Amino acid sequence: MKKLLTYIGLSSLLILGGCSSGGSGAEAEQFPTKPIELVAPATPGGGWDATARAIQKILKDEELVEGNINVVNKPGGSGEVGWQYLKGKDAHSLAINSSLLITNNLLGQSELSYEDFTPLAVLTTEWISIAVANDSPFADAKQLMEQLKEDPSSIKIALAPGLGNNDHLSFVQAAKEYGVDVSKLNILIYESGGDVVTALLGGHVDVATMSISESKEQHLAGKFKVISVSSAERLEGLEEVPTWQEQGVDMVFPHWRGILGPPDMTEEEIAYYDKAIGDMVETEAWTELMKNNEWELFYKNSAESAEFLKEQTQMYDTLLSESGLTD
Amino acid sequence: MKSLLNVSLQTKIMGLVVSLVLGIIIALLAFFIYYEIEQGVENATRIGLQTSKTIANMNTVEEALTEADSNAELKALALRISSQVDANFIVIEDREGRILAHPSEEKIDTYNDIEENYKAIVFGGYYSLLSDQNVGPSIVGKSPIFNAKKQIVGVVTVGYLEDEIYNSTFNRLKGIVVFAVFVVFLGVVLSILLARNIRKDTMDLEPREIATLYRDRNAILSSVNEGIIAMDNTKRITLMNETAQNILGLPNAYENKLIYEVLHTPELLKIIEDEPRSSIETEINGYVVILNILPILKDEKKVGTVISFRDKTEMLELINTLSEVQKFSDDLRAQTHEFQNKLYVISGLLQLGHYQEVLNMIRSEVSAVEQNNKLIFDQIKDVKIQALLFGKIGKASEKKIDFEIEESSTLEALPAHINPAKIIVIIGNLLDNAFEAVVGRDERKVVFFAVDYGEEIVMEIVDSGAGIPEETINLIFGKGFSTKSAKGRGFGLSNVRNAIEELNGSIEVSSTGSGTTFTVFIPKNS
Repeated sequence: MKKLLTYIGLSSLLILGGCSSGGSGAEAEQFPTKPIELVAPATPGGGWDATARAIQKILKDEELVEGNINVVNKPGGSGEVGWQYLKGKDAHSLAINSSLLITNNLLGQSELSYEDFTPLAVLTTEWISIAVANDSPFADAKQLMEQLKEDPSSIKIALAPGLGNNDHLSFVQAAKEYGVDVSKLNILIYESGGDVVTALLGGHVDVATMSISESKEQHLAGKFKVISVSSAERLEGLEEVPTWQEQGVDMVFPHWRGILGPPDMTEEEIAYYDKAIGDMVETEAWTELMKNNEWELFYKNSAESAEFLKEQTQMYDTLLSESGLTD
Repeated sequence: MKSLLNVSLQTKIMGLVVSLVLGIIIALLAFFIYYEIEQGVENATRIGLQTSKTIANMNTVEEALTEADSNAELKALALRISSQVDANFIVIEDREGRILAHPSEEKIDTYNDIEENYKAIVFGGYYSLLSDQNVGPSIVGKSPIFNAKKQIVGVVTVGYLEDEIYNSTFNRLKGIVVFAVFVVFLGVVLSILLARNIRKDTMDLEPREIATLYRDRNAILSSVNEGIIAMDNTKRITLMNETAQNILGLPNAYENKLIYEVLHTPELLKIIEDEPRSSIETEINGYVVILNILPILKDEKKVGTVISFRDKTEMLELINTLSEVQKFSDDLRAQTHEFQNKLYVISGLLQLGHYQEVLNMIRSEVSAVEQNNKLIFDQIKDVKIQALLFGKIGKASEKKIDFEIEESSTLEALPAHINPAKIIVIIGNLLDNAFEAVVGRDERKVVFFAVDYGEEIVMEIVDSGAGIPEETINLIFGKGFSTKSAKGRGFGLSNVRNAIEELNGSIEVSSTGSGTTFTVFIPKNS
C-alpha cells in the first residue's frame, strides 16, 4: 500500500513536471526574455572581439534577434576565462570559440572541452600562411621542408603568441607530413602577429607562420613572400600562392571560429539561434564583413557543429600525441 | 552433491554462515581494493601533473637548465621536492632527452627517448601517461620548461610507481583482513551456538531424523483405528489423525486452531478441561465414543494433552447383532416349548379318545401356520426378514400374542445398498416393543405390514397396547428413554432412529389409548 502511494506520488510529480516543462515550452516561444550577451573571450581588438562585434552589429541591424544584444569581453587564459564564464550562464549568453577550446584541453591547459557546452555554429575560417623573406633561399614550401628534414633546427621559425595555436599546429602538421623531426624545430615566439612580421622583415627569422589576414598585405606590397596557404584551393587575391596540397602535403588546415552556447540548452533555444545565425550568414552585410577580414564562410549549424567539433578533437588529439618518430 | 548436503546441522549452519560472511567480506574487499587503487591512480595522476607544472614554472629550474652545468642544483631541488610531495621520482630532461636530474646518479647525462616528451617539447602540452621509461611502471605527469623567450628548453617528469600505489593499498588491507578473520571466527562460534540451540529444541535430533519421525508418525497415526487429537497447553490443536477427523466429521484445516473453535460438543470440552481420565463414554456428533485423556509431559511438566477415542457405535452394532441372535434362539426355544405344549394336548386328547377334536385342533393349527407361512414365503421375499418374522411369530405365540402379518404385505428382496442388519434392528426392536406393549392387555394383537410399491419401503407395526402418553412421545427416540425401569435398556428406539437415519428414512408414530402405530419409510434408491 505504501509502495502504491509512492508510485501515485511519483507519477503525479511526473505529470506536474510535464506540465511545468510544457509551460517553459510556451515561454521559449517568447525567447529571448532579456538582452542577449555575446562573450568575446579576449581583449577588445583581437580576432575574437572583431568577430563578436561583427555578429552583434549584423544581428541587430538586420533585426534577426528580438531585443538587445551586447558584447562582453572576458580575456584571459587563451579563452578559458570567457568560456568558464559562459558555462554558468543561461541560454541568453553565447561565446565566440575556436579550435583553442579543443587544443587547450588536449594540452592540459584547461579542463573545459566542447562537450561542456552546446555548439551552436561554426561561422568562418581563416587560412594560415607560411611566409619567407624576399631574399630567402627557399622558393617554395617544398624546398623549405627538404631543408628542415635535413636539419630541423637549422631554420628559425617565428610565430605568435604561443605554442599550440593553429599557426603552430598547422606548420608542425605539414612538417610531420614531410617527415621532419618536429621535436627539434627551432621556434621563436613573439608577442603578436605584428612582431612576427617585423622579425621576418628584419631578417631575425627564416620563416614565419601566421594567418592570411596578417600576411596578405605585406605579400602584396612585396615586403616578403607567402609560399604556402593551408586552404584547399588557391585564395582570391593570392592566386600565385600554391596550397600545401599542391606542394605534396595532404593537409587542409582551417582556422575556424564559431559560436558556443552554455550547457543544457533546450531544443527551442537551439532552434532559435540556428534560425538567427543561419539567416545572418546569408546577409550581404556578412558577406561584406568576411571579405574585409579575409575570412571565408565556413557555416555549420548546431548539429553539424557538434559533429565537426568531435572530428576536430580527434584530429588534434592525433596530431598532438603522435610524434611520427616511430614510423 | 547429495553427500555434500547430507551433513550435520551444525556443519550446514557453519558452512552457510562462513560462506555468507566470506562472500560479503570478499565482495567488500574487492570493492575496497578497486576503489583504493582507482583513487591512488587518480591522485598520482593529479598530483604528479600538478607537481611537474610547479617545478617547470620555477625560475631556478629554468635558469639551471639554461646555464647548464648546474646539475647539482637541479638534482638537489628534484630530490627535495620529491620527498615533499611523496613522489617516487622526479626527472628533468632537456629538449634532446638528456637527463639532468634523476634519483639514481648513474642515469645523469644519459639520454632518454623523447617520444614520451613529444607533446611537451613540440606543443608545450601538460599531460599524464603511463610510463616505464625512468624507474619502473609508473604514472607520470609531464610539463614543459619554458625559457624567457617562451621556448621549450626541457621537460619535468614527476612519477608515482604503480607498485607503490598497490603496496600502500595492500598495507591498508592488512588491518581489514585481521578484522575479517575475526568476523569469520565469530561467525563460526555463533553458528556452533545456534546449531546447539536448535538441537536442544529438537531433542538432539538432526532435521532429517525429525523428518523421518514425522513421516513414520503420520503413517502410524493414519493406520490406527482410534481417533487421536493432540493439543498444546493453550488448547491449540497440534495434531489430529484421519480417524479423528472422520468421527468428528471435521474438514482438514484444523491445525493451530483452538479446540473450542473446532469442536462444538460442550460435553467433550468439559471432559477435556478435567484431569487425565480414561475410558469415559460420551457422545460426539452422534457417535458414542470411549475417550482417553493423557497429558504430554516434558521434564515432568505438562506441555499438552492427547485425546484418543474409539467409536463405540461399532461395538454397539456388534452387541446388537449378538443380542438379535440371542433373541432368535430365545424365540426358537419359545416356539419349541409352545409346540411341546401342543403335543401334550394332542397326546392327552388322543388318550381320552377325542379324535375329532385332535383333528380339528391340528387342522386349525396347520391352517394358521400355513396361512402365516404362505404369506411369509410368498409375499415377503427377503430371506432375513422372513427369518426374523418366523422368530417373532414363535415369540408371539409363546406370549399368547396374536401376531398377524397383514395379508396385503408384499416385500421384494432388499436393494443392495440397504444393510439388512439395519432393517433387522428396526423391525426387531419395533416388534419387541409392540409385544411388550400388549403383554398384560386383554386384547393382545400386533400387526406387521410391509409394502414396497413405489419409491419407498413402508413398514407398519400396530399394537393394541395402552398407547404412549402425550408428554413422553417426543422423548421415546432419545437415548436412555425407556418405559421399563431396568438398567441398560432404552437404546432400542434410539438404535431404531439411528438405523433409519442411516438409511435416509423416516419414522412416524401415532398413539391413542387403544394402541400405537409406528410407520417406517425407507427410500429404495440410495
